[in-house]
Amino acid sequence: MSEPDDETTASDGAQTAEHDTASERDPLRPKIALTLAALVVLGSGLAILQVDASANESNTARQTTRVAVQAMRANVVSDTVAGLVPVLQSERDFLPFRRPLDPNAPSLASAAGVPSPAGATADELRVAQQAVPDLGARKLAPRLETEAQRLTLTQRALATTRITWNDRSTQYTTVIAVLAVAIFLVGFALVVAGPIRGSAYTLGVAVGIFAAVWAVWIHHLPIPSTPDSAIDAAASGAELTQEGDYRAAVSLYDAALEADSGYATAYSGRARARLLAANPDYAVTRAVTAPKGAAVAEAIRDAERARELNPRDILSPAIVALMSFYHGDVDEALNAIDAAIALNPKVPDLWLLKSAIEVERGAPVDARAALKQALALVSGQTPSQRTRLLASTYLSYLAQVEHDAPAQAPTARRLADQVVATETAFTLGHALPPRRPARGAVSVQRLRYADGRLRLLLRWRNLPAGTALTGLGYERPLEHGAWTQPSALALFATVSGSGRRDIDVPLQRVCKPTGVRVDVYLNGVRTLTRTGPGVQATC
Amino acid sequence: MPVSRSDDAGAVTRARWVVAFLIGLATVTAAGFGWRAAQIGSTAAYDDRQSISETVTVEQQSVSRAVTVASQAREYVRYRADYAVAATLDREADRLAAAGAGRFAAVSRGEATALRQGATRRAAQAGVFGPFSIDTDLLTPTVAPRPFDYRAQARALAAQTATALDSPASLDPDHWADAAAHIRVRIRHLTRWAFLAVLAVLLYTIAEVSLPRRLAYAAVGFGVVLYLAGLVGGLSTAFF
Repeated sequence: MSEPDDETTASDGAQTAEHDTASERDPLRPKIALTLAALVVLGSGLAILQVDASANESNTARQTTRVAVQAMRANVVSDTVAGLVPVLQSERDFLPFRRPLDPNAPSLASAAGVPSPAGATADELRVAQQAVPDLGARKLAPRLETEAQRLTLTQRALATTRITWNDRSTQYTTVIAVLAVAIFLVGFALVVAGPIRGSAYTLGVAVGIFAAVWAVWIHHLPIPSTPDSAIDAAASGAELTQEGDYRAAVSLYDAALEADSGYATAYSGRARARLLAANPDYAVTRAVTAPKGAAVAEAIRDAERARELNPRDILSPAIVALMSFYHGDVDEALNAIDAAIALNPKVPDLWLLKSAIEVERGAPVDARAALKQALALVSGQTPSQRTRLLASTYLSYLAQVEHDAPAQAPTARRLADQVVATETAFTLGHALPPRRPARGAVSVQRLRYADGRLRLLLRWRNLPAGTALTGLGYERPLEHGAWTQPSALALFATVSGSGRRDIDVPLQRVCKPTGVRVDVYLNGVRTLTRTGPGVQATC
Repeated sequence: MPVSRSDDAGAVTRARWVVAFLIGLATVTAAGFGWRAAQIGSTAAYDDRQSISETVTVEQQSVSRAVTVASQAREYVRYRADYAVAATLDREADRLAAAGAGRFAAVSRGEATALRQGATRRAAQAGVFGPFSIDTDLLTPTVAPRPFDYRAQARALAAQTATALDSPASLDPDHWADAAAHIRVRIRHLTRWAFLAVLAVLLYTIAEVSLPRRLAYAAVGFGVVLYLAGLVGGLSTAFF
């Protein structure tokens, strides 16, 4: 190495030493060191919050999974016991078909010429039926159903809490990452000198303050949790709704909301219970007898509140759509049903209601498109109570349209006929001829509702072999109101030649029919419509 | 004793080294607590998995029992219905015998006996009255129907499952859940004790940069107290 080089090096070393000394004497330096330590302490505090959130998330995740498994068990057991009840009852119902309890079967006593006292068989049957126990299944079933509901609701509540804890943990991690930037800037300020030191320090402090404020804001956000008392009350409310005790169900939902005023499930449950309390036959006949009034207004308010609290709740917009349709607010009904469909487009019930709303709006093309969607969703299924209920619900909607918007009645009737033809082919399991039979006739006689029973005589004569015969019963619960088509009042048969069916069925209704109607279809083509008298309006 | 300037500078340097050492010690302690928290955290995760796994097994067994008992209940009700019909046949036989139609009475009685025999055999084969063997009293019909208690059946099935050769060891998902929750409480404690150690670092830093000696000593003293509190608290309550 040459001398000049040595001189240069010595000079550089002296300058560096001077620079270091100046840097160490900088009055900002102790402040920077303290700030750095304070940021580290802040980071430790944030780590505590993050660890707490993470621990809570892990504990809640475990509980959520365990309760989900328990809820699955409770639902399976509840369904098993509920399925046992009709099976046990069927054993009692089968007794009258067994010798010697069958009054129509040949009797040994009469063969032996031994006279039997009058009513002996009926007495024996009563004794035998009493001897067949139900093993407490009838009592046990509702208890198990409530337990299943409770666990399902608990699982949902825990899942919400768990998701929030998860979000919280992630937010704290993000804040810690931001704080790391602040620590880097302040640490950088500690080792550099000159004007950059002040800038780095200021920026670091600003980022640190931002991180601290952000952490405080996150910390103050509430963690949703639903008290057990609210869940218990809502579960019992759901069970009572299923049992048809709607007013008691509303009281229980009230209790649930007292325990937790932000419980969306209780709001949507109460909306449904209020709706069913105001329209007590809806679950059986789809009859909306109180489309307006305080109870319905409260139900809609509850549904809207549930929707605010839980935007993913599909029941609430469906309730709003249904009630808006029934009291003639088609725009609101359409908005609500579109919202419900956006949440789950795989529910045919929603598409059918949309189709009816579109008919009432005077948009037949959209109505047909919605109906097509609904039919596509049930294609591939086999005929069941569920598919019958879908069809009857849609026919009731269309009957409502005929009543509320007479101008749209032709469209409503066309769609109704289309659905009946489709359902007939679906139920009978074969395609229908494209037109009604060339010969033969059908008639409905003695159609009436009296003494709690619907009676009619359906006759047909001279029909070609393989004719599809469909009979659909309607009832009118309100004087001059719309018709409704209960799912149970339907007959699908393949007939030929001449024949008759004497129909005599009990109709247990709160709002007793003021009139009854039967539509008869041959090969899916509407052939006959007859109306008959009912009783004085009870609603 | 007069103290020279170089002695004073040497004392300051030594003090700074001590403080730097204390800062390092507190930092390593906090890191050690963090390491331990992470380590026991994985045990908590294991306990969570055990708890869930055992919950699934317990609930599966419960469902299996419920389905079996429901099936037995169904068979038992058929059995009782058959017995009810048999009792009616017996009464018919009594009436026929009283009216002098002995041969007809024998038909009714024979039918009742056969019905009871068949009902008993079918119920026994379905396990309604407990384990079935080829020749057992269970196959002998009784005059009055045998009782059936679904709770007792469920208990018996639970006992059978628990004592079977392939039965899982005693299942206690709540125990695992409690263990996991307890570990997480320890983790929380550890983070708080570590926080005390980090606070001590802040105080040591104050001492490091303070010019007034009194403030520096006070900061170091307080820092040492905090550090020891964190160390002793962490080691005694949560570390092990």
